Amino acid sequence: MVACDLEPAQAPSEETDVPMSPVRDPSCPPPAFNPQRLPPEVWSLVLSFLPTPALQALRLTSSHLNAIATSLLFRSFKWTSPVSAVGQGAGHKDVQARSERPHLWRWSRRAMIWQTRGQKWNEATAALPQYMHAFLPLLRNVRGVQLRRVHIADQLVRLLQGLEELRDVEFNMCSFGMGEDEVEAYRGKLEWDSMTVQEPRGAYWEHWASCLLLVSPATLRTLRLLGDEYNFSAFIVSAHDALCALDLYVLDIRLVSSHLELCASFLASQSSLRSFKLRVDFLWKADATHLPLPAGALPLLEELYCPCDARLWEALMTSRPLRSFGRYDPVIAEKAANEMVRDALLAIRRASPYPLTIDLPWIDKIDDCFCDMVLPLVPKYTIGITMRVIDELSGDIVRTRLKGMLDGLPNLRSLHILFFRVDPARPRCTLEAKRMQAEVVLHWGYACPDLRTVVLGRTEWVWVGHGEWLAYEKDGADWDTPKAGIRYWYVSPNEWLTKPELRERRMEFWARGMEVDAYDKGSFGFRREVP
Amino acid sequence: MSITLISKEGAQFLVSKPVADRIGVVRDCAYGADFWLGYAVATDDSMGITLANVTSSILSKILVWCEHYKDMEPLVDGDSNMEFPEWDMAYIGHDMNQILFVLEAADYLHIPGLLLLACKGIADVLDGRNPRGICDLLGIVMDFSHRQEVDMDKENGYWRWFLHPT
Repeated sequence: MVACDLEPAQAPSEETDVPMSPVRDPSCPPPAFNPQRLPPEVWSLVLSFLPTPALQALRLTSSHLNAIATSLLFRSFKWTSPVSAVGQGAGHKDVQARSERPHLWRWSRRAMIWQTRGQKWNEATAALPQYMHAFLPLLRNVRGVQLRRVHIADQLVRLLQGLEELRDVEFNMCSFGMGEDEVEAYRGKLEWDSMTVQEPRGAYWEHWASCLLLVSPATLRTLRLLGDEYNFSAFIVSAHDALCALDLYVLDIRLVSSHLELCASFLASQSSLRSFKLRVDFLWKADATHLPLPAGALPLLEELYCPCDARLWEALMTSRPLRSFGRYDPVIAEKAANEMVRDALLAIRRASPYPLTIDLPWIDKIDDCFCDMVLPLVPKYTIGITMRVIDELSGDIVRTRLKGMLDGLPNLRSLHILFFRVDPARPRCTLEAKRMQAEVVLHWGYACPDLRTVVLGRTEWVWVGHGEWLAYEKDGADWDTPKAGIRYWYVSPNEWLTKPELRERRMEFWARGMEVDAYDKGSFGFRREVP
Repeated sequence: MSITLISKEGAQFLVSKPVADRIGVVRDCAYGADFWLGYAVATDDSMGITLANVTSSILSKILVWCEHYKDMEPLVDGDSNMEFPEWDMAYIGHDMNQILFVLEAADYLHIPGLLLLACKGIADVLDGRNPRGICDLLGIVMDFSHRQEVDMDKENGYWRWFLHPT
């Protein structure tokens, strides 16, 4: 046997008459591959790369590929109600035409039923037209349904109950109108895993509690209540005590603070809760809340997302410290921001000796008070920090005020400093500005051995090993979709490389698991894979 | 440390550990649970692993890919918009028959990065062809009647109408 990596060490020669495989004439073409040998899941993967016209062409080739292509083409169903009276008549015909081909709709997994009359603030909802009631049962394998501006009544609930695969339902700007007798008839019969009520409509919020009663407590695991000014206490139904994720998003704190006891008793009953998000915007006052939650009430809580209030935070933390990635997302507190954040950080330090990701509130500026009173209180075990600053910080301020902020955080893995307002006229990419940033990032990397990602406004720095960092600047594009116009530079304690020099260093980055690709428009693509 | 891979025809390929690590089946065969548990693995050069479903020509082509990616991570998930490196696209080429064999072997050997690349290669070759052209390319016999074909053509029209409902 010859020690060769890529060539056959003992290639079967034509002279050898070892009958291991039939000897072929090398001039003959290789045997054709039968595509049906590939399993359907591999074909699905192949077809996921194809655009719609190609999928439509594949449907016409064979019954084997037809089934796979059809399942991809028709997996999402969307119906939008026509607005005009003439359009409504046409809509009826359209849906009837669809009904004639029921075999197509068994591939649908997600359905969106939208009645889009009026603007967002328009209260109007309406029951679905009868032809849609006749059509919906055809979507018998659908797993998720989103209803918009629909009046939920007995007939629709009966249809939804008939969709056996349905697990995830979202009511978006819907109203609920079932009587007590009708609710009792369907109580606990809808076996859904997840339910979302967004911007609920209707004169009486309490009616929505009846809607929750329809869902079986044995199956409901995720409840999301999102809206502007609704009173979420109407949704608190003691029948549901096995939720894993609860997401409450209200814009008016008064609607929360007036029902804190009810909220606390509801939370105390959720012994399986793993994720709790309470997002409250505006009008938050630090002394407005006292959540009387008993100790040990949420034994499994792992993710917490709540306003910047030490008392609220303490109430939730004392039940049990978060075990992993508790998230902390306070709100704008204007003048009292520093004091509120300080109190909250003190509460965190008292309560959580575990790794934590902290999401600090939007602040106007990085002043001495913030640097001296708030930043030193970030717990030692923090593994991620997100700071949000209204106005972009100059490189000089970052260097003078924030350079030492990570000195006491040896476990930090990521730091994001985000800016709301960016001054386009600022000479952000001058060599001097880059050097100032690089100096700070190198210092942070030295202070935090586990630090791998630093985002400073539009510039992202990625650790590439050996104390070296690679930076790239986004230019209106998302971080994960590299586009033309992105600028790169690379820095190590002893070296500074710009884009042309970086091009020559590509092979070295490859060797470390980093990839820097040349793209069509002369720019670079970049994959963030740190070994 | 090296591992010998034996193709369907009995040809032997001596590959280094980083190259063999790219092949999921070989990795599992060679190291077993000890590899995943982080224990030291005692293997020798004489170890041979037979890959009974992979021909020599396809195995040698796959090993070129593994050699290229022995020190870096390939793309292993994505969607139709993802862009592969130029080297990958040049490697996979446009020979449909060969790509299909590579695809089958990548699935059998559990090489997710190569599987994805082969899928992309096939999709690129299929894209833009009409049904007849696809059948010729893949050697498929069209098993639809004329009436069924007309029906499905109409359904394709329905699909467009789906996206732009009244």
